[in-house]
Amino acid sequence: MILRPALPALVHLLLLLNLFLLFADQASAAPRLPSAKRECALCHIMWLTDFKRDDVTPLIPYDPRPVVESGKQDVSSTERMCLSCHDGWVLESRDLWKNKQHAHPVGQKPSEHIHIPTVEGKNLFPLNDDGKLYCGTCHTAHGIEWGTTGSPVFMRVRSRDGELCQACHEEKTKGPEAGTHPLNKTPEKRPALLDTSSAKLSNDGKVTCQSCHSAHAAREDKLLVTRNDRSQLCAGCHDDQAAGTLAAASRLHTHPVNIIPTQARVPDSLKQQGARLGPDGAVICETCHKPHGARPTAGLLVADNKQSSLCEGCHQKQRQVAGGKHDMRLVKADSVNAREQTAAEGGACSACHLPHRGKGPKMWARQPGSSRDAMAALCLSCHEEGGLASKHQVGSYSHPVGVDVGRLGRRVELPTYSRAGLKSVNAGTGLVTCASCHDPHQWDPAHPGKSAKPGTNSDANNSFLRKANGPDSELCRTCHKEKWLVQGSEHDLAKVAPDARNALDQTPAQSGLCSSCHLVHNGTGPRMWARALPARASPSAAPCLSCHNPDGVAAKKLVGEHSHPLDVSIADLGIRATLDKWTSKLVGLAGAEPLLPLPLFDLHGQRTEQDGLVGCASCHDAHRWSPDTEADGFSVEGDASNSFLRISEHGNSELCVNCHSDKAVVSLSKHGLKRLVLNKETPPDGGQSQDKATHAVSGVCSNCHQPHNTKGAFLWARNDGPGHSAGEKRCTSCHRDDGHAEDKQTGRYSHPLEIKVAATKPPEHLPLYTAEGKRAKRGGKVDCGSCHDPHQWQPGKRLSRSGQHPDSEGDAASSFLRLPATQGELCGECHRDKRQVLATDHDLSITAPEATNDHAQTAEASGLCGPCHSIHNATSPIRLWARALGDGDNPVEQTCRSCHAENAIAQAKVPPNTLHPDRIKAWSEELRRGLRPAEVTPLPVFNSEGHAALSGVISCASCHDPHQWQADLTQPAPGKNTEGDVSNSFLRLSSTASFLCADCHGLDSIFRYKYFHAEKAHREHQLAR
Amino acid sequence: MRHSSKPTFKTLFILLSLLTSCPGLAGSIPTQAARPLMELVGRAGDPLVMPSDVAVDARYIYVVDGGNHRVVAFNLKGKYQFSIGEQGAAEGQFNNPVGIAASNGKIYVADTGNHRIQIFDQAGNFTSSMTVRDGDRLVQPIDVAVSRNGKELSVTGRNNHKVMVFSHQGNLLRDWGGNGSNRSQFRYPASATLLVDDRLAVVDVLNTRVQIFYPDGRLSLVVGDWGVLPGQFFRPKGVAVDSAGRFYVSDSYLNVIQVFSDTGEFLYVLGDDGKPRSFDTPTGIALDTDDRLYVVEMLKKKVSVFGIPP
Repeated sequence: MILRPALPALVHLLLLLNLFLLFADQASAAPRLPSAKRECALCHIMWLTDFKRDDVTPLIPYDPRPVVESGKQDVSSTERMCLSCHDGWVLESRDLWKNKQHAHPVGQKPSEHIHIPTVEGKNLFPLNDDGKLYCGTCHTAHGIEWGTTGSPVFMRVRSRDGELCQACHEEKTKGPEAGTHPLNKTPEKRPALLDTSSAKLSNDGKVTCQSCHSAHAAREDKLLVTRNDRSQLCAGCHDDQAAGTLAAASRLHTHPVNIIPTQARVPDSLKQQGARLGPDGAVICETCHKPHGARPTAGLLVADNKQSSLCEGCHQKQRQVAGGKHDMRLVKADSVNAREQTAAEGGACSACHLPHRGKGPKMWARQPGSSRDAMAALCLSCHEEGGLASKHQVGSYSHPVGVDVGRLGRRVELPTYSRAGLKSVNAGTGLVTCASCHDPHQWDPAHPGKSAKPGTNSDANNSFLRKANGPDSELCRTCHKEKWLVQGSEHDLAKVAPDARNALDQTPAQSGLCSSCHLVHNGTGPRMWARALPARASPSAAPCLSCHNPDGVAAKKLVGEHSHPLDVSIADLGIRATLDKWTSKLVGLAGAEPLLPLPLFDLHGQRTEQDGLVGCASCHDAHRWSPDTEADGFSVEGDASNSFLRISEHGNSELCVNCHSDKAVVSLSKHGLKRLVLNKETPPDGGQSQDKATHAVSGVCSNCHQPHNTKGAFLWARNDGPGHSAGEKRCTSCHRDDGHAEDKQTGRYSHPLEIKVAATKPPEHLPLYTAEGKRAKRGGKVDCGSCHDPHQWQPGKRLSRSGQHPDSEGDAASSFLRLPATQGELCGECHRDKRQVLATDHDLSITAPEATNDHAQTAEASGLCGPCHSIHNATSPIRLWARALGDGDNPVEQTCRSCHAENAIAQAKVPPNTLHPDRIKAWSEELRRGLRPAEVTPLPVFNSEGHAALSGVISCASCHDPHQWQADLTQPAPGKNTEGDVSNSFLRLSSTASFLCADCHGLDSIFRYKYFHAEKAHREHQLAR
Repeated sequence: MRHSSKPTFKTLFILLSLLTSCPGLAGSIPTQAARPLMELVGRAGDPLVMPSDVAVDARYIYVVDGGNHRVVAFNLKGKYQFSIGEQGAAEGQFNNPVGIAASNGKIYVADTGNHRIQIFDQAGNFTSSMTVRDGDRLVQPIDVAVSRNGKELSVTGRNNHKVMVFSHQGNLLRDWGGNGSNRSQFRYPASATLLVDDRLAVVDVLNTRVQIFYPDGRLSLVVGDWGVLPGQFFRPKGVAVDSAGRFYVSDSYLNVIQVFSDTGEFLYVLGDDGKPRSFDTPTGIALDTDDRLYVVEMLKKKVSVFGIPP
């Protein structure tokens, strides 16, 4: 054979080759060179040709389109293929597998809402072989944009702004007009949700799908990034509208959420339309709103709010506002709210309330009016000048708002509010405001469903009141319970004046009892007065005087022309007053009770909280007849224990003393008149009081004073006595013949009254008076009251009882003097220069302490001036001399000689002659000054009555000033009995060099000196020697 | 020539040679069975979620329970003992941890999301932590291997594609690698495990190989190739070495564990009778001193333990 020899060689070669191949380990073959297909095969594993080989068995079977959980699809985008890198070893996405239940659905066919966009006839987002969604619908490794930030997620379409979602979920992109949450809008501020969840904004900071949803591993159902059962998701951006408490809702002017409704109720019909509630039935954002699939109007509402129907669905009670005066559709249909909606468009509720972004509490839809009280401001947005209800304003005098009902000290069954407009929870606290009495939704409290069209009349039974205010004024009494005591009293106009009409032309039966005097709104004056006010009355008194005037209802009860003053400041009495406490600088009787605070007013008649002026209502409580009982006092003549007084009389004039506490000491003196107060049959004034009807017999003050219908000054309750000045006439009502104090009169010769005190020397501590008896600040005159305080017996010792007994005799240290006269303090207030007599030889307490004057008073009892001068009941009109006059031709001489005479006190000092020859009429220094201005020594001359005159005789007092020891006052008064010399001795000389008489007599004066001075008396004098 | 109907010896020979030139008859896959021993799933009501890696020491089996951001410890009988940490960035907390190593009575966890290695004692008490940086850049550490003397930590970085060796005080001693497909480069280095002779085996995922380095970083051996055939890898994740020096490599997509000789030759796939055992996303694997194989099956949320073939 030809092949035979060649075959073995070929076979060996083949054998060798086979052996080589047989034992070759394919794994240790040289690594394959990199190929482009390798990168594709990273995911497209089934493209590897090794699957197609017959000679090898791959580790996994060939299955390019496996059936997996989401259906049949290409292997490259199965979940396992993605996981093979995204398991944390190449890239971290394990939480997407951890939380698979909240992920975009896969393995489902898209619903009919979804329209997948197509490109050239092919779905841009492909579905798997079963027509279902799978990972590859949104994800692909091809043609993606590889950025440097973040890891690529292989999306088919860039979706930083939610474009991928929106490509299929088109119906969710159309915005609120199509009932879906807006997209591509920039939030007003950075939402907190970005920090608390995986929510994202688009690249330019706008809202996208990913702001609420997360396609994978979302925290909550519906692929939401956070829960929304307590409005948390909505509040993550819309935090200014997610008020979680009533207080926050009031502050943010928005509808509250996350609260359980108590007054309102979410109807089942709304729930069926998709309204959701929080876990405990609380109202949440999603109760009214739906982010997708909402009604096709702005607002993303669950149900339409045409004509406020959504509001009314829950707030059924407030429906009754429709068809009435507060239904803006009837009042002014084209008026607009804060959203520029007319009432006709928005409906009854929306005219005043906007659930979000209101302008005030209660979600106010209009610009609030001007008031510090937030709730009142709501009403005033229409009920003020220029507003829609300017015909129904409350007026300048209206029931106050913003007042704390806590002052009543008890529960009040009407709503009260805080200043910010939040309803108070605890009855008995909070402020009164419009809404306390009014329910703006409900016209008639007795007929809740009834409404009244604009233009119909209103009265106190409707008017949006919470309670009718009928004849028994039930609404007023809800708070002002204690004022109801007025019923049946003399101030109950239904009883006393049933035909009298108030400012609204209503009789008391028509207006109700309270309203016969008080109008809640549009009062005529302070106290919300309901009646015409008198023209020229002080504002605090005007309400009272509207009846208590000669033409008024209470014409029989007038105060008279002279009555207790009004509009005087309580501070003038040294009282510091607050609403709850009065403190006084004045000291009353020891052991007196603390002062009762009484109402005080300002110049407009409004009550003040601190200090203030006295008004009628300071003493009177017009509602309450008697402070101690609940008697109505009808047809009873009042006295000091009732008469609508605030403090009743218990024997000590408690009402007067509450203010005039210093005057209470009068009861310790003989002016207390306790012993003299007669019983009712004989009134103190002997029945001569003009107006018996207002006279009251009570208390120590009333003996002399009465608050109304008095004569004039000092509120005098008695008939005047004789006299000229007002004060004198009052004192002499008792201090006169046949008067109670007829043994204490001033006598024929008494200190003059109605004297003007020179402007240069007005008294510091003594009052001066006008002719009418009022205290004068300037230019006043001396009156009894200048020296006497009739309330206080002893100056400086207020509580002294030494003057209590009517028979007790006073002296210079008591006697109701304002200042003691013991050392001339009293007299010295006016007669300042005369006080120099103190401690001189003419101070008889030093030189003749035992000597008595005409009133049998020693110097101690009579005081400094008293030994020589009698204030009252003087023996002589000359200088009100208090001693028996001595001899002499001229009254001046006679007064000196009452002591400077033989057998008299000053018998050691008796000049032989005291009178210059009376043929000589010397001139007084005033006349002489006209001729010789330079040198004039003081030289008063006296006429025949003993008064200083321009020309007259020279007498003792021409050379001597009996009050002043030394003319130039360089030495103090000696203080003991002293032998004088020419430099003192009561001489009017200004120096020893000049000589009084030398003016006329020249050198001859030396001898004339001897004419007046005996050797015996003036031995020491140089001239005598 | 004689005509005969009987095949001649030469024809037979040709047939035989043709037959033998095919490497394997539709090649059956060489398999060796692994004996299932037990499974670790966590405890009742508190299962593992997306676990990634496992490490064993003389007392405990530690599993990185990535989905729960913690490490769970079981005793050697498979009973739950305790867990370490929770999600967070504070000491002792984790953020998406991936790899773990146990050595010298300590546990080393690659706390990937927090860019650090945290070290605990055997009972799970925090000891120290080391932030991993490559220059200025924070590294996402994927796995860590510790030298036998405990002085050197080898860390694989996911975002810088490097192996970095740190002293136990945290100083960088040396590093190598970088992103690429050449030798000594990586495309996503994953598990790292130390051999008995201190060489380091590192799985290189997208380059579908395991590279073994000397301690100084020189390349010693490359194991594996890309593909779907036995001895090839698609998504290699975990590597472990038994007492005979054989390499075990898990493939989390092909769901197999393949065994190679100490010189890198493919030996067999774990399985029975030519059919590879199909794990479910096997990622991290470990072998203890008794040659028990621990396999983290991520999607099945468990660690399966096997006895390996001798």
